[in-house]
Amino acid sequence: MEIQIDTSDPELRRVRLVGRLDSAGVGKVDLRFLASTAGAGIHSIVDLSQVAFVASLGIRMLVDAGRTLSAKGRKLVLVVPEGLVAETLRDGGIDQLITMVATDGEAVAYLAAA
Amino acid sequence: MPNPTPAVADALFELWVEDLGGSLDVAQEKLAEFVAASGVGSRPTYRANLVFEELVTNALKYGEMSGFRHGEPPRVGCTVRVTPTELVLEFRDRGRPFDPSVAPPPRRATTIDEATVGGLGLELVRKVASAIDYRREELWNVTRVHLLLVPD
Repeated sequence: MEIQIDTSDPELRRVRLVGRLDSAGVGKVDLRFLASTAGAGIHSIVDLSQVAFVASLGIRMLVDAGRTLSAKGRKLVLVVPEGLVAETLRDGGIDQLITMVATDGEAVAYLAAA
Repeated sequence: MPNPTPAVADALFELWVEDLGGSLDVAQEKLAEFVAASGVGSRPTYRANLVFEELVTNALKYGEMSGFRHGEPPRVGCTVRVTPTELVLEFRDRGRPFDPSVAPPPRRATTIDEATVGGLGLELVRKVASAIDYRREELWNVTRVHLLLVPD
């Protein structure tokens, strides 16, 4: 599991996760992920397009970040193309809690309108 | 559309997991290799991995496995069977009796502010399974999860 963090925009954090968000993968990235999103306290776009698998622990990590940002009046948006990962997130009801879009452009547009 | 026909009909595979670290990682890889080699397609392979991850993690984290002799590590066994119509994963552990098929569903939050994800793993398993059977065999929990082989 890899995490790539783009800090170039002071008002928007972009994080890309690459690999498997299972128990092993979450254990490798959760601290950096939460620090770079929830800890930064700015709108965050999390790109899951390179994530091949997500389990409940991975979903918990995303929800934790989304909840903390929401408490700070900020939003977390997931970029998730159609596929098995998006299907799992919907099965877990995450699409009802966190905005899921298919592209980075849609995520930016959503945050601009928010 | 007809179901895909696995390359290996009635294939059987067994493995054991003793911890949530390297042992689970290795088991996940072996499971993925076996299921993929059976030719069942990406969706059943993904779902088998999801069920395996959630049930093994649950058993090792919360199963309170007291049925093992002193010095023997708690562990979860999994047998995987691929038939022409379904993929069946049978889990065995010696934890406290626990029937995942009747565990109450988690409370669904309506906003991110009230969201918790306790119980989500079992909910994901129930979403992808066509059936879940449970029985207690002496000290063993035996949970069988059926996944239909549907086209990708």
